[in-house]
Amino acid sequence: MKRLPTRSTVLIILVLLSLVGLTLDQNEDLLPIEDLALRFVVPVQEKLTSLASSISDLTQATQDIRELHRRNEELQGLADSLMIENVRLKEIESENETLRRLLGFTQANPTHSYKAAEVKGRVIGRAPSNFLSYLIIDSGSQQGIEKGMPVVTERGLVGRITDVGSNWAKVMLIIDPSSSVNALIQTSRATGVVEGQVGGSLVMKYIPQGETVNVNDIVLTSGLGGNFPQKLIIGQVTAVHQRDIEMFQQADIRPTVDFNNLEIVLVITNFLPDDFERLVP
Amino acid sequence: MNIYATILLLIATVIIQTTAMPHLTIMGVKPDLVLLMVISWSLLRGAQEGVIWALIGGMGLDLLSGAPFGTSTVALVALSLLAGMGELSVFRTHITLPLIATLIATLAYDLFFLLLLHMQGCSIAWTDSLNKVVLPSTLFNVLLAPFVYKALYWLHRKTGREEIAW
Repeated sequence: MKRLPTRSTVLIILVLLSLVGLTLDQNEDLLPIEDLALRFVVPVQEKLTSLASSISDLTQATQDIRELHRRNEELQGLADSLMIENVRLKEIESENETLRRLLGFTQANPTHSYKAAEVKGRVIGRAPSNFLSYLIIDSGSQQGIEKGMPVVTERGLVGRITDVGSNWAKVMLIIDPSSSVNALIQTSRATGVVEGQVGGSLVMKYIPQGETVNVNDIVLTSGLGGNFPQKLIIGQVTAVHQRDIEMFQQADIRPTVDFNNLEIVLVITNFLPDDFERLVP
Repeated sequence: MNIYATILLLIATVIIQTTAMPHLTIMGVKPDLVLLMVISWSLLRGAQEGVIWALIGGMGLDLLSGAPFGTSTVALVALSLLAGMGELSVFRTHITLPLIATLIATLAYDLFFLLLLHMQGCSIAWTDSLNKVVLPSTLFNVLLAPFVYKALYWLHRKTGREEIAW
């Protein structure tokens, strides 16, 4: 007799077993065997399921971390750009506010024409010495700036142009020790000369004895001498020094302009100081 | 040290002096970085190199200053010549030498400026000027001197002595 191939034998046996199993299962005769088998399989299955779940969680967590990292980078980039935008807008707002105040000043003083010039505070800004008070602004002869022109802000007199280049100009501040401005007290109309001091303060000298000068009086430019226009605010009297033995009174002045925080100034371009040297024969 | 590197270094210092230093004031005064560098370099390398530093730094300051051109240059050259004598001192490596040199140099530099202003006809409140500017700036410079000296000492060791040539 010809022997059947082993594979076919196994197949037949498996089919027969399946048929037997189906028949027994119908009558629930397989339950004990099933119970016995599953008693060993279930714990292993539990462990395997738990392990698979952990691996799945780990994979998911890794993916989540990658996603969060990417998202974090996106949000960080967005936050950075928003911060830069915020800073830019604040700067624009600040500049807008300054320009608005300067515009108000020019509208209140329509007799002069002004040239707005930005102080190059962060580029070549200020005098290197502790004894001198100068600024360098980013407007020069190309913008119509000339030597001697007064420089102001909406808060008052800043100084005057001393040197002019094509696109820059040096401004001697009124607090410079070399600066002197003819001035008057607003209430009493007493005249004097406001001079800068080493260290950045102001003193009004040559106020005639007998003139009334009080603390908190406002000091304005008098226009005498033709170096500055009239009625520009210089500052406020903080102390008066009056001695009977002296010919003149003297007053300490607090400037209204904050010279340490100047960003934009106005150059009065239609005013040039009188040149008295021309009159000398 | 190479002359071009010297010029670049001093120009950068002058720019810092006129831009950053006004925002770093203490008691209303700012430190004189260029003065500190010229004095330190003169102590380390002698008057010959110190004078060149003084010329370059002084001219840079004069360009951006409102003072008559040459004021800072003359003052710095004179001080660098004096400080250059310290190069021969046996205390050259000791920290007290730059401190004392800075103290004397700052006082001399500031008084030179005050005298110049006085000669120009400015009324100088001497007591106020000394109390509000000269003494605070001297103190400020002396406090900064060790740091500047240390930095330049490192540069001195790195670059080595060589002829300054164009």
